[in-house]
Amino acid sequence: MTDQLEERGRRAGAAVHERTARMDPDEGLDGVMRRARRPRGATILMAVLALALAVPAAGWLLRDEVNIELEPPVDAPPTERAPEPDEGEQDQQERDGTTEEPEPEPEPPAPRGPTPLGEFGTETVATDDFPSGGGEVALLTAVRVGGHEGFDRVVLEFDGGDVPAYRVSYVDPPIVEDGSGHEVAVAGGAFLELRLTPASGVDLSGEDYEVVYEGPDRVTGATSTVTEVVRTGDFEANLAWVVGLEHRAPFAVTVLAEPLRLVVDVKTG
Amino acid sequence: MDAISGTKTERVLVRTRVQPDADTESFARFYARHRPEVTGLAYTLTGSWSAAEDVAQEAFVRAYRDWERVGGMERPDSWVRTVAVNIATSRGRRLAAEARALTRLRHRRQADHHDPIPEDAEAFWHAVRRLPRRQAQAVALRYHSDLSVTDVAAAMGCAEGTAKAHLHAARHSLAAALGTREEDEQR
Repeated sequence: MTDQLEERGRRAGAAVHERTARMDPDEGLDGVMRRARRPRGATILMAVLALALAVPAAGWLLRDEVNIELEPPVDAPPTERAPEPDEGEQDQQERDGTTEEPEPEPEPPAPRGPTPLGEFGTETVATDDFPSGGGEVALLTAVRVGGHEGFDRVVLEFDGGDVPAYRVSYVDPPIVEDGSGHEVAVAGGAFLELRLTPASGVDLSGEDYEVVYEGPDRVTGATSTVTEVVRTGDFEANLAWVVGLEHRAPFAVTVLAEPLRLVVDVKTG
Repeated sequence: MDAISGTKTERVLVRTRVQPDADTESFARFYARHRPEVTGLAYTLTGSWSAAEDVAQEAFVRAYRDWERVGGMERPDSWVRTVAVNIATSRGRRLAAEARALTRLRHRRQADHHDPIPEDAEAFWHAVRRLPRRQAQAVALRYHSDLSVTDVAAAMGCAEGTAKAHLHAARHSLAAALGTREEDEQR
């Protein structure tokens, strides 16, 4: 039986090779290179973006033709605060924010860097469906933190899955780990908890689990108010990270698509 | 912004650098050499040529973004296969790839390799797609990409024994699935 199966497997593989042998091997190379280099084409991007936003019907076409991700987070659940009107542009800003080195600007602040997203406040921000969120588990792939002019930014990036239900709120110490209940040391004088469900750094959908978040449990950056961002829970599709802050400060929450990101900006200075 | 500690950040920063021409050429060669096979591999796991092309494109995009590192590897093809099988078997990502592929089909003619493959082969891959994802990955790498068990394990990022176990379990399930099917047809 096994030998028959081996033979059949090889034949099945050969049948696919027989098809792919007809492919033009170079086809699509330009598109791949263009997509890979996308973050650098900011100027062209903005022009196309403006056009696509002006002509919504052409959005899919442009996105497809030019291979630019313009998708605003249409699937984002409503938050307590209204999203900014122009999320596509913000998406770009956020992207820039994650790909450029800081430029120290001692003199009059140049209006070049990213600007904060959303509306600042200190009260809890949560989706209507929190904590009962359903759908595909959003898989955490990266946690980033960085400082900008006037704000620090924390980004949780996901791959696949649906937009999870989330809640961002100030919490009182002690900070404890989900499940174990062990206290987790987080530097700072105020603590902002990011809680998402269903979301995880581990993909359990397969037969055996696959760790999709390979970064550290404790993330720091060149920030002024944020001290560190620490994982406090990844348990039964409940994901929790706590942002340590020097002091309580207003924050803003935004969801961006493609890739799915939860962006939390914290006011500084 | 300094962002982000850890390797993920470094990769993000690499993306924004201008790639020297030598890199572009070496990537172009790599692409032409492996695109058909990687697309075929993705087909075995997705069952759709347009989705397979999208998966392959995504895998090569990632390779090129990180080409300074990937291009310097002993086996960059193994890296791109790993990425491709992971994308192809990740449901959320596969759905996204299928959606993009569907959009693109509206203004693209069907390539001739989009013809269906023989029924016997399609039945085999159909059964493979119903296996647990790690088993499906192992079978695709073994029977489509014709890798040794050692290379299958390397591409899956697991121990050789684990790859063997996946293949063993997969063969067992496949034999049952395909065997039953043949009996049904004979009836």
